[in-house]
Amino acid sequence: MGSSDADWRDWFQDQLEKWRREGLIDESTHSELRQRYSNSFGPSSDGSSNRLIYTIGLLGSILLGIGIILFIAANWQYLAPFTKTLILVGGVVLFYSSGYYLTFRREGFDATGSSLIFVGHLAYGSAIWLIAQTYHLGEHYPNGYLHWFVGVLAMSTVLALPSGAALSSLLLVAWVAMEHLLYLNPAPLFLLLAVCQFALTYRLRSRTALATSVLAVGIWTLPVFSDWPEDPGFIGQYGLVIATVTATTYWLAEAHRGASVRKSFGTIFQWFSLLGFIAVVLPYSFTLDNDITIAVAPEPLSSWAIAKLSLLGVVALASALVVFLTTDRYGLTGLEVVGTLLFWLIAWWGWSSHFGTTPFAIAVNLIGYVLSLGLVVKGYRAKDRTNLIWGLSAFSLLTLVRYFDMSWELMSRSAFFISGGIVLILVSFVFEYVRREMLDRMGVLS
Amino acid sequence: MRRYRLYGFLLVLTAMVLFLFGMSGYHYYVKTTGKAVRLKTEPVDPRSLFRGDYVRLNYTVNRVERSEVNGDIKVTPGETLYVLLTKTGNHWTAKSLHASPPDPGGKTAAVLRGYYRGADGESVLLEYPSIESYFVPEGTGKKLERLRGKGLLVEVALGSDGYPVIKELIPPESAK
Repeated sequence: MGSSDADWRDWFQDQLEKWRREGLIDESTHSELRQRYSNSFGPSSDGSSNRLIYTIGLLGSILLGIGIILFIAANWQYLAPFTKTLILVGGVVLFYSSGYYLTFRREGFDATGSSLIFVGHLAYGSAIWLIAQTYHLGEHYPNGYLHWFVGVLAMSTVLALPSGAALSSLLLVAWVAMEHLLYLNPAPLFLLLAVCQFALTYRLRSRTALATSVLAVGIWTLPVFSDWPEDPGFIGQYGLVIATVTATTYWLAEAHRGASVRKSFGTIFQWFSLLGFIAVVLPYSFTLDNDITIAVAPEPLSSWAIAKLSLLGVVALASALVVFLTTDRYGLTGLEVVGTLLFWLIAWWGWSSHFGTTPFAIAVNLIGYVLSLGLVVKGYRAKDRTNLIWGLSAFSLLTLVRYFDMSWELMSRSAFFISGGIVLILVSFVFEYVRREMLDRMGVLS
Repeated sequence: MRRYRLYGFLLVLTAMVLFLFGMSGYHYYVKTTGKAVRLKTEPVDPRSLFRGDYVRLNYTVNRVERSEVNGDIKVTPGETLYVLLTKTGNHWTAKSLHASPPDPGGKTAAVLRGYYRGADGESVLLEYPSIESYFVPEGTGKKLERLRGKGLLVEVALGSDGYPVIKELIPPESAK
């Protein structure tokens, strides 16, 4: 709000008068337009004293608020437990109610109202932790995040505000990470909560919430579908789980391409599948006798672990099938289907048998190259920049890793670094050249 | 639609308020109405990200001798057990360990609810999550930690089901 609004309003009113005088608009249209835009530029020039009163009032409220907060903070430890609870609950009610009123009951205060509702979410979390502190509660720490998540999720579902959905997804990550890392708890309740979170995320179309929710699923899936931390072959299983999650996220990205949901959701899934691809291919592509390759062929698994991993495989293949049946198959190539299937099968073979690490590493490298080149071809044919850049990045990364992996033992250190530098420069040059060339052609073609 | 949003908002807000009051109210109720016992403790000073400074309290009743186990109890970690407490001097000690709540049967006995954590030689290890953390003003945790081994007591209120809530810390000079 400032002089520019006032100038604009004055100009607009002048124009209205002029249009009326010239007969461009009649009297009723003139008054309708005046009415319609009367609130759009803040108070009129004769309302400047109102604006001053409003500003003074706002300043007064801020000063009063700061004073109250400082007073409570200074005396917090001397307050009775029940008084503390009353203050905390009162804060939650105040922030939520004022936020609701400004967002849904007053015109033009949406931003302030949404911010207050967000502060309400934070106040609710603070209240949980501070009440726990007041009564010296140390029971099962992750439950604090769980209760906070449930409250924010419920409120965000009712009010349909994306900022709340993003916060609840973050709390879901915090809760599931705490359960897994601190208490080694599989937390089956996660499945139900994740369904609710995804429903809200898709309803509100929040990209942040989607990215964080997918991360939560990843955190939950990894220990639940492997025998971590009891099984020493965890790293072997880890590859299999990530491979399946990667395949699933890739197919989900494809599904979003043809679906009515926002295309940007597909990009998020695409990025997760890229990260998964790198997380699987890189560690398993080495032939060095290191901990990772040893762990690729662990002790035979329990039937329960095999059942869980098989279920993941079924999920990956089912997601591919669903994409085939429900989308317009835009840009799909047989390469990806075969690639996904092969990737999963070879990961299974390398992990569950004792054929040695070299054939396994060769197979993983081959698949890595075939898939990255497949992405380039697909991106080029379908004029999809993300797939193209993705495929080129993966191809370059694999080449660089192979160079450093193979030449480290063979060359003297100085030759290694000199030739390494040359390789890096060449790869970056070729990468940039090919990328520009392809993008240019795609631009011409489109 | 607008009306349903308002109803939904009021419903969720009410649930939140009830949850916060419930969380607080139950502990307040036990604290004010429960039977008070004093337990011997050893404080350690860690820090909690969201809740600030606190001391971790280890009690002598965290460890119960196998000879004090009542009957043949087969439990897995996390399962509920009950400790029958008896007054010994200025504080209360474990008399026996039970799988179900025993009858205290007198003013000099009380029941404390805990969770099985594991075994250590001839001892059964128990935990009492609701009384093992004591939150203190910032920077004062170390002062309490220095009272280790000097007979620091904690006054605990016990609910009718043996659920314990901390009432206050009793410094050694006041522990008569």
